[in-house]
Amino acid sequence: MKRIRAILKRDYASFFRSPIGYIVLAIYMFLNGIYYAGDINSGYSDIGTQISSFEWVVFILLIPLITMRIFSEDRKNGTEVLLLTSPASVWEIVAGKYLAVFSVYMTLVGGTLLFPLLTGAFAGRVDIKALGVYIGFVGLGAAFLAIGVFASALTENQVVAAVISISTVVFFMLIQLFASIVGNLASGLVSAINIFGITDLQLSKVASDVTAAVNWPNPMTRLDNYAKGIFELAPIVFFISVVAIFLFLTVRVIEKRRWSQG
Amino acid sequence: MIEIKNLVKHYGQVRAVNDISFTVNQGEILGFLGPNGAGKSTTMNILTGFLSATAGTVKINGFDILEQPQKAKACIGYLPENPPLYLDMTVLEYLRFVCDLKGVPREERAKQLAEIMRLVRITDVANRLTKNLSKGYRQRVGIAQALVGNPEVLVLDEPTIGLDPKQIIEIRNLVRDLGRKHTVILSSHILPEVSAVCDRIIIINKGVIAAVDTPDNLSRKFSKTTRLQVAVEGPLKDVVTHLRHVPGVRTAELLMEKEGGVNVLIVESENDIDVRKPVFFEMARSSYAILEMRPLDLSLEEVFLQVTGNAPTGKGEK
Repeated sequence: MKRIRAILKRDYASFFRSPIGYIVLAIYMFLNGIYYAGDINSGYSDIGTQISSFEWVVFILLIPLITMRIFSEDRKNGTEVLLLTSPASVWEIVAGKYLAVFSVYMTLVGGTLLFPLLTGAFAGRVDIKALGVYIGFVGLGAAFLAIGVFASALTENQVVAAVISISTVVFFMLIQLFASIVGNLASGLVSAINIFGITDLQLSKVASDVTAAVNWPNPMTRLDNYAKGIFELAPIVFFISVVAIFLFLTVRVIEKRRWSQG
Repeated sequence: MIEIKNLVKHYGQVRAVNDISFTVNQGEILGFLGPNGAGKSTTMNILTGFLSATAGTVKINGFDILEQPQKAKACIGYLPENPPLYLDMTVLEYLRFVCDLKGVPREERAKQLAEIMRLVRITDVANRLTKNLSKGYRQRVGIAQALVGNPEVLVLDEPTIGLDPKQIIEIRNLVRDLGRKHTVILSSHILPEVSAVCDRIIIINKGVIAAVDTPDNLSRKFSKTTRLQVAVEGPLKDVVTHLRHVPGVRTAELLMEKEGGVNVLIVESENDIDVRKPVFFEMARSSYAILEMRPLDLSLEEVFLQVTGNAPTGKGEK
């Protein structure tokens, strides 16, 4: 536990020793600031829609920027030798590093609290439904961070790590599109070989069911209800599972390299 | 203290380390010698737990590096080939982080770090970023890092690389001091360093141990002849003929000519025969003055070259 904390502390501080932490924070706060200013001009502010509208920037650009160096830099500088020959286990190292990027992300999320606070301070109304958006935003971010950490462990090149995590996130975002195409194809196929007299209603059910099935691993769609203010446990379990799986894979990748034969 | 048995490491088709076994006793300084690519660093990386061996076992203080990695690693301080520094931290921040990583209690930290920094002489750069340090200072911070937590075993991969001659002597003395309390394994390709510091030397070549012994024994074992360097004033041909007539002398060859008709020669004799006296009287009889005569030990360089199969021409036999 002490070692996890040591690594977490070092890596978190390291983001703010280099420009990267400030750049990420600046980009995000700038975008939010502009959006908020626009909202206020029209006399209405909703932190929920504000966060949702920049989600893609965070997931495609900022999270890969945060995670790309977390392992690859250690490997390139040779500091991974220090970590791996210290009494810390690989699990402790991965946990420490994941918590470091998660803390950076939470700093980012924390920054947006400025806006509802501002709204509240000037006697504006803050919708409680925003809490649901925050939970979803943190959960989704946590999942993508784990993917980014895994990508960073794969290579000693930060750019390659960033490209891998960006493509993974884009892939998940495109699943939705892909899912509806597959769903329509499936219903088309069923109607083409229609020998059982299937009704149109059943056909559209086929289309939506197949779409939902293909869409299942897509973390983005799990948040739809949160935005409406409905709390669900299933998405939380889903996000925690994604984090656990990718951190497990990260541990495996690092251990595998010790055994590598080439 | 350190027990290595039948270590094998494959890289694809290449056997980087091929069935190496040795033990290192408490308080011993073991030198690890070998040409580039001999498997020195690979062996060190395996015994510190950074790499895993294809086969074989490593035990540190009785703890197997694979089965009880935490306990085994807690006994080791490791300076790898490149000092593992975080370039965005100051020396002090970095060493504090290493303390946390190795579980040095908070209340001992300040005292221990002050002691280590004094020992490797980096106190004056404590607040500078490691990025801005010269190679020599980085190397010393690397050594400091290995000393954190006062581990029983120190594994140093080329500790004096990149240092200037004065620093090399300092580090050499430091290693010798450390050897009193710690068990030290150090690799080097600077042979005088190894012979000056180490109690025992392992010469490794192509992944196999080629020789293990004390520095003195090694040079004795591998020298089949005893050699003298003699400077004689007199005509070369005559001197050589006379020298060759001395019983026990095998060859006499010119090393170089000096001004005033002085020839410096290398005289090789059978092992265990002291030819210094007969050479002196032989030269005296012909009234050629001997200006200088000194025995030449087979240097560790030559032992090394012989063992690794690159014996220089004209010297030694296989």
